[in-house]
Amino acid sequence: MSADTSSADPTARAVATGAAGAGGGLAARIGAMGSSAAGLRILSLAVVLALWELFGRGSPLVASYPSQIVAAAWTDLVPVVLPAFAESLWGFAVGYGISAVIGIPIGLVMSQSRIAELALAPYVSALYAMPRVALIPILIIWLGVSFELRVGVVIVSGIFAIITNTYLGGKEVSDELLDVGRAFKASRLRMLRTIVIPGSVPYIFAGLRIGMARSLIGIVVAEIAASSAGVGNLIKVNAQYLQMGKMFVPIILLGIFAIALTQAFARLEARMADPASWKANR
Amino acid sequence: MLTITRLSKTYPGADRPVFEDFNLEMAKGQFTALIGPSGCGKTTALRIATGLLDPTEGEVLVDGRPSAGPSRDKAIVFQHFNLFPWRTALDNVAYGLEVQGVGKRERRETARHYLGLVGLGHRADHYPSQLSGGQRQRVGLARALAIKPKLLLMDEPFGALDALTREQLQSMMLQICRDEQLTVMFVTHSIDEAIYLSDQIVVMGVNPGRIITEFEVPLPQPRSEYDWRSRPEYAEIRGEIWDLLNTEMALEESSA
Repeated sequence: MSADTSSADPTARAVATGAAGAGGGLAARIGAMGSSAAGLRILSLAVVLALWELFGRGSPLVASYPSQIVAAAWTDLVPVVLPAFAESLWGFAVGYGISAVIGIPIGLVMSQSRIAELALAPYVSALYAMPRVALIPILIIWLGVSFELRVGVVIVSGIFAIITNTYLGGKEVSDELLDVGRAFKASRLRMLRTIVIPGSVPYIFAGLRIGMARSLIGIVVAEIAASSAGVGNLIKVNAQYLQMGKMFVPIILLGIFAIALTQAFARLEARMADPASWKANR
Repeated sequence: MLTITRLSKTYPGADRPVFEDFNLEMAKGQFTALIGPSGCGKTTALRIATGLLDPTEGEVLVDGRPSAGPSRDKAIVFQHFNLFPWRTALDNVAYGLEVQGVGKRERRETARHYLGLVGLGHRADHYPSQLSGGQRQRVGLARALAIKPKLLLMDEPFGALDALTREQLQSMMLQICRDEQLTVMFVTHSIDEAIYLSDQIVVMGVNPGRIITEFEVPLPQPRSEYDWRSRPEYAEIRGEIWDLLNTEMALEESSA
């Protein structure tokens, strides 16, 4: 197989012999690229794509290969993949919004009220710890296989991370800062608004970020398991018909989407943690 | 102005009190330092006077009226500054006024005035992370002053600062307290700081925590005007306090 691929790709051999012949020329260029982090990343990406192309062409039904995926994206992206994405994202956005709007207040109340803490903490920690994809079959029975299922799965997947982190954040707020509120005779509501909530912001954001990642997992798994539409379904159908190139288009898009969202969150978190730098950059 | 009678504090579950039979009288405009070895309950006494803690027994009176719990007459300056990191210096100073329901423009104006008074007018928009330790404590002082209290309670406010910054802040704070005619209770573990700042020094002992004795400081005010350390009264009072504290700490060690 290796002999096959090298003869099918003459440029690879030319590069290899060229490097051997010219001695330090290519090595020096690689060294110069590697000296910057961006250069190193581009180099690493190029190597990975080249290897994937090489091996993928040898067995297209197992792993596909980059040029095939690009061709599939060219024909499928706008008519097929983006509508499926929109379908999934709509469920994700609604479910995630509900998780945040309900989860943050529940976490805050648990952190402030002993009664709420005692009553709710066991359920929240149990549900946070268990693999929530196990609930997908029962959610299908309750909610069907379309929009309502997506919303339900997203809430079940993400909300406990949001509740738990907000709750921990509210408990971690420094007693020294709470003393300031007490000394100035602030009401409990004002202390919640001016000290507990701003003081828990880093935890709340961590909860939102973890909840987001878990919600994405949940929605894709649910669509693979049950749905007749959405990204997960598209991946499953393409895999069933052994359309490997087409299958990878939504997978890669999903990856890019998750990375972009995580990065945006990380940036927002860093700004929240240090208001001084935020103000300076505005 | 401030009267504390037969105060004692025992934490739930503890077998003996932090301190007991604590009696103190402070006149209006008087500066009183509480000094003692660690564990004598000086910070606990200050927190009870502020209203952050409830006493087990006894009473705190301000101008003859019982003053349990925090009130607008009292403001505290914390040892570790306790500034909100998410608020600018100005909004930290304005916090007490905000809690009292003062309108935004008025409280910012007042906050700006007090920031200027502590020499930080040019740092109003800075966050605590952008300020030095000394600057942070100046914000802490301005925050306490901004609600125009009658009584200022300070818990080792300069303990976390370097010597030079401490001296600068001491004289600035003294000047402001005199101008605003504040009555001050000041917890410290530095004998020199107590002598330099105070009209009255209360020496506390441990096991059980209690007041051992009180001194009037005989050095004339303002002490920033002359070399107070070269006065014989200074040497005398310093020696007395030193002996008392040493005896207390020796007793503490032999009983431990």
